[in-house]
Amino acid sequence: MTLIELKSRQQARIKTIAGPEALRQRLVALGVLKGLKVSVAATSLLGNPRVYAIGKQQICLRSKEASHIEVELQL
Amino acid sequence: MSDNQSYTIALIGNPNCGKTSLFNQLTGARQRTGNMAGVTVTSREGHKEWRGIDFHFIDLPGIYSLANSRVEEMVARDYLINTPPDLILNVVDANNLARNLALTTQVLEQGLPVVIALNMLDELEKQGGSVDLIELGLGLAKPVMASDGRSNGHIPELMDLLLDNIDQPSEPLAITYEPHVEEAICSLEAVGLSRWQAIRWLESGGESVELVNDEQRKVGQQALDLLSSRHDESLAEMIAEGRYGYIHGLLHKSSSEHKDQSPADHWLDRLTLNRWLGMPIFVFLLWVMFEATFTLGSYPADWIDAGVSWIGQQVGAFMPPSLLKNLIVEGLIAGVGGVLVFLPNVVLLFFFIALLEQSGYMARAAFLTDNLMSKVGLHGKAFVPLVMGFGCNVPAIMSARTIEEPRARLITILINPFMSCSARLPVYVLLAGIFFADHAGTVLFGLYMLGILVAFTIAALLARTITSHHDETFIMELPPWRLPSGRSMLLHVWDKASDFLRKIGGVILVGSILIWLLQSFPMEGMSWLEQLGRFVAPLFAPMGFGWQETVALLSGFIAKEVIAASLVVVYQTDMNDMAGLQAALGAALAPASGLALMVFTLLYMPCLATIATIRRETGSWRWAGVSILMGLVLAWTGAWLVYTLATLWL
Repeated sequence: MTLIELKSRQQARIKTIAGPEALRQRLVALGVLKGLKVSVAATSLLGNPRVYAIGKQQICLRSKEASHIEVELQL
Repeated sequence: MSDNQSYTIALIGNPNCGKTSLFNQLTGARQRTGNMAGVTVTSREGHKEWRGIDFHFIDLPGIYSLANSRVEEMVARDYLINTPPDLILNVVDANNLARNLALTTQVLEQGLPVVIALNMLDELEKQGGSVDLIELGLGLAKPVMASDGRSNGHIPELMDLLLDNIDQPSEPLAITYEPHVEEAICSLEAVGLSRWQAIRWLESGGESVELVNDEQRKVGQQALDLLSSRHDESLAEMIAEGRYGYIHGLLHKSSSEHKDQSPADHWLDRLTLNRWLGMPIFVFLLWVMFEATFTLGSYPADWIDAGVSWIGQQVGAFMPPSLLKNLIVEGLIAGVGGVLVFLPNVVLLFFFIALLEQSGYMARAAFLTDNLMSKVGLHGKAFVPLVMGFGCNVPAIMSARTIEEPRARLITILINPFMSCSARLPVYVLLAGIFFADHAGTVLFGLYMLGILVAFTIAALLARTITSHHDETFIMELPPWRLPSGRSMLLHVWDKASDFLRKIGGVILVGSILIWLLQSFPMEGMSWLEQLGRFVAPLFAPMGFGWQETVALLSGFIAKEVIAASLVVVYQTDMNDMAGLQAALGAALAPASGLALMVFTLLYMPCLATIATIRRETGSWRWAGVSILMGLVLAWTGAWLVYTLATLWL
């Protein structure tokens, strides 16, 4: 599943990061790396963008970018 | 060491790592804002003398990586390559050590001399984390020192550390990457690149280092192709894995991590980012901000007003009647004093904006408004230049440089003048105080909201007429909540207050004298000013403005503060304080006209400095012209509408 399908209160781990090169570079520079724990921290009024807690940081992503991040649900 | 030695030290670090507070502490009040030669994003410079040596500090823009091709990153990268400083002060946030150190490893690979300042250590320790500075320093083979953005105590120690590390040999850091990556690095080294150049070239997917000949380009392309056929991951990821592998090894020995967010931070986020409450809270905070700007500002404003009238009376009593006396009392003191009165309001507004910025709320507001912004061809990042516009449109328009997509940037620039700058505040405070004394704060809030509404409407229209190049990705880190340090707030506010005072001493002084001269001559018959006013006034008659308001609006073209000064000078017949002016204005204008005058002031063309900035930033007079025309048309229509509607109700 991708990051946009993650529901609030669910925990997941980042599996792969796809998408255009510029986006991948940007995410990597911000420390968004595969294997990190991720959860939904906040949702805006219309559901897009959302804030994700990734590792120790909070990062705001629009659905368009978040859809490139493949995650694995953690139980 | 001789007395005339000078060293350059560049501060580098992630955004929000406390770099600028440290810069302010190091350079004190002697800092100045400046454009670096040939760069597009501003970086600041400042001096400090220490033990007889002149230290020149450069505050580079906050960046995450040296291998991304964003404007601010290119500025820092080119600076480090083209004019390497004598020493780099790398500011690192202890709360997000791994990511901050990723940038450090890039700098170290380049073999540049570095001293590391570890910021926010107290925050980390409060949450139960720790960093062993000595161990970390040994691991990186660089001096590491704890620094604190809130107190000055450690500055002498830091200066000594910097001094000690000037002219020290510096070995490039060697991180071992994945074998295929190493292979590619070797092949690039074989055609003449240094190791760090090879790594950075790969890390940026074939950018950010210029290859000089065909052989290099050929080998580079082969390396990229081979790696992408062997791995699904991007090169940026593979190299980042190497960096983080190295960093985690380092931190394993030297630090213990804290848990997630502190409970207070978590609670604040739950509240301010709440799906249903977030927006109402945001709007409420803005309302409080404008209400407080008006209410709290009125007390010191009264004292200043009393001071100015006292001076006016003293001069009036002391000087024999003459033309010069009139010039000083009615032109200079009245005009300059009339604007000086609004200093507390302006200072308060800047204080609140700084509070929003430094606490971390601004990024949250950008998140809340992103969806709205995306509807008009912008994104959350345009939020910062827009809020800065509440202060002054000139730096706000310049800060739009961080928006890369040309259409989004152009829209952000063109709608910025509708964000009501602090220079327009005196007019609102004056008029709202006369006509809507009981609801002045709300009127103020309403005006700013109207400006925002107009800005968004125009943005939506522009987005439909100008073609976009590509969508810019919106990825933003939400910084942790921080209690702003009193010192940096004071510095910021002092900076803005002195800007305002300088303007009063310059353009407003000259403007007041000019207006007075035009009003006083010729001595017999109708003054030039009145003639001019009456000539243009028919244009403004539908809003119920007299020649006085007409003249004030015309003069505001130079700088918006002059509007208030002009009103004061024009109406100041023999009254020497604000109450007199208020009475005169209240008698001359209907409340509906007062409201229309505020709306006109809000929307009409940008001041000279802003027009020049629009011209420079868009590279053509065309957009500056569009901005003027748009403003005038909207202002007239808007003011007329408001006047017409208000006469029905008021």
